Amino acid sequence: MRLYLVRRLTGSLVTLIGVAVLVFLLLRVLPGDEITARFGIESGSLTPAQRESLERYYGLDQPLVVQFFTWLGSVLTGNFGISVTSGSSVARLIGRALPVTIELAVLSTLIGAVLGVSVGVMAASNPNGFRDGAGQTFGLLGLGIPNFVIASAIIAFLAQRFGYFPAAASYVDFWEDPLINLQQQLYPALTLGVALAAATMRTTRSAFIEAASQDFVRTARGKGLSARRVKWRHVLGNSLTPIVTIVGIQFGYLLGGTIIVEEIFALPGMGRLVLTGISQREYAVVQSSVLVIAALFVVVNLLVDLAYARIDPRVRLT
Amino acid sequence: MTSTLLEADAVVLPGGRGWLRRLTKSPNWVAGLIIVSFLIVIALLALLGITPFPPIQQNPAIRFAPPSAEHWLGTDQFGRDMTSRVMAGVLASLRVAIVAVAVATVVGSMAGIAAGFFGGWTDRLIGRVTDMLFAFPAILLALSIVAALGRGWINTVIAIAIVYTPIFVRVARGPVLTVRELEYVKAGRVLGLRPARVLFRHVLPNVTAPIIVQIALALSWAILTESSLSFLGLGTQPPDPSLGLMVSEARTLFARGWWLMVAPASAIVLAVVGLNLLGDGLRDVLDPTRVEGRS
Repeated sequence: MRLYLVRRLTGSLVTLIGVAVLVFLLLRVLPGDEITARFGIESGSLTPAQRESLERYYGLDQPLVVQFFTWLGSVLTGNFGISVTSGSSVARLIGRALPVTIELAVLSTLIGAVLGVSVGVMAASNPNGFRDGAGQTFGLLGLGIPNFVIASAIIAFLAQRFGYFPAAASYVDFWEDPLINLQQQLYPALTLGVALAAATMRTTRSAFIEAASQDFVRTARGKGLSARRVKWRHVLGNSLTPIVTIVGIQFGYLLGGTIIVEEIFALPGMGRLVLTGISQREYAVVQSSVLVIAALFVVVNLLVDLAYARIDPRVRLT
Repeated sequence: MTSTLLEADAVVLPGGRGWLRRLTKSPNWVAGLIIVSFLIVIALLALLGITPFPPIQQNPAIRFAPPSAEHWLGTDQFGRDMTSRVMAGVLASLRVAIVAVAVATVVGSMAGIAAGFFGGWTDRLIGRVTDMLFAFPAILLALSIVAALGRGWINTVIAIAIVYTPIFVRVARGPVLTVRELEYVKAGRVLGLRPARVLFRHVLPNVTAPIIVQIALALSWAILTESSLSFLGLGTQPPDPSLGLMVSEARTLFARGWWLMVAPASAIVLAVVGLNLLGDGLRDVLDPTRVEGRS
């Protein structure tokens, strides 16, 4: 176990460094550098001498490797740079946006897990029956309908029915007013929850059907346990491992899904930060928030793997 | 001797014989095939310019016309025919998805086969790069690449190809590791066949089944990613029709015409569901071991 842990941790660390390299390189590919970003079109009229001194100021005259480690060093000490448009530090922007995204991901996971497991058990209780067909159709459509289509439909409906348009400026923090905050998070979380429920449903269904065919289920029935107890306790209990795994994996994917949904529902989270960063050509913002999301993604995946080993003692760790 | 030992029955498709017959018995696969064929026909018609109206022809006299005999899917805020626009949008989505997945398949499979076949530092290097790309949620990676390269359909293709290449690396590498140790491949090496011949003649056929399954699934994800990028304004640029952009514009116009959203959204859902059905059916028949996806 310890060896596995050490190996998995170093593996994730190497991946994280790779992610940092990739994010750094991506920024170097972007047309224009920090000087262009700072001075806009005026940068074209800089004299070579001015340009040279600015390059020295921003450290752009250093070799790429040196630039990378300077950047990595400042990121690791919490210095993500300054957002020119908003005037505040990128670290502060991320500090405000990250809780919004994490709350959305947690809520969607809750909705998706509860809905997915319920529909999955319903479908698997009577394989190939009517309810199974309905459940499987739900699974197929839930995975097939893109989240931006669901979100757009919800927005269109809310606007037409209640004249309600979400706006980023009116976002209320959970600690300020939990009720309003949850109202604002509900629809985006529902949107993301559907896709997650579909994936969870498919996994639950197959795991449940497999567990239901085992001998211990027959034994449990034979000793006179009620059908309900057998179903929820014995069968579902024994199909939990794959369900927990898929929910964990999906939680990681949600971090990507939130980008679009946040944009549509005007939630001021990480996804919106990335998108506005891109449209305002704020390299420091884009670079740092992409790095943070990717790092979070790696950490979540690591935790899922470790949890998996913990839940199922049969998993051999090598 | 060479021919009997190395070439007869060397190829073991996981599905075994009769897979085509079993495929046609799967209702899901048949449904998927019908949907996908329908969309391909639509895209081909649009490619040949056979649409009811030119997709970008405006007509202010008939703005927001509901579906009718003349305009099957109605018209939009500029009086453009929605049927023609959706057809052109399907073409745009399929074109990006097909080119991107083709690139991802070739590059990814070759890298995966090389990693599995040669092992050692080749394997480690390719594995590291794959892990790195897997460390990004798909849409975030695609977004970042488009942001770096600029907008336009070629850049969208590059972004989507990079996002889905790692999947093919993993799918191809696994079977190669197994096949490499099989007797007939070892025998081929011992007999002194060139590595390239062993690779193409004896290893490649064994990874085709999982790769084919993956192509169908990757196409559906690629369409999702393409339409998401377009939705965000980072994919196909107006006035060129794009399904994602049409859904995005329809959000504020929904009260004026529900068909503006329903038509392009249905086309996207149809494409994604059709390809999923196709992929699921293929997987059940060709490749019983499930492959991890990416969303």
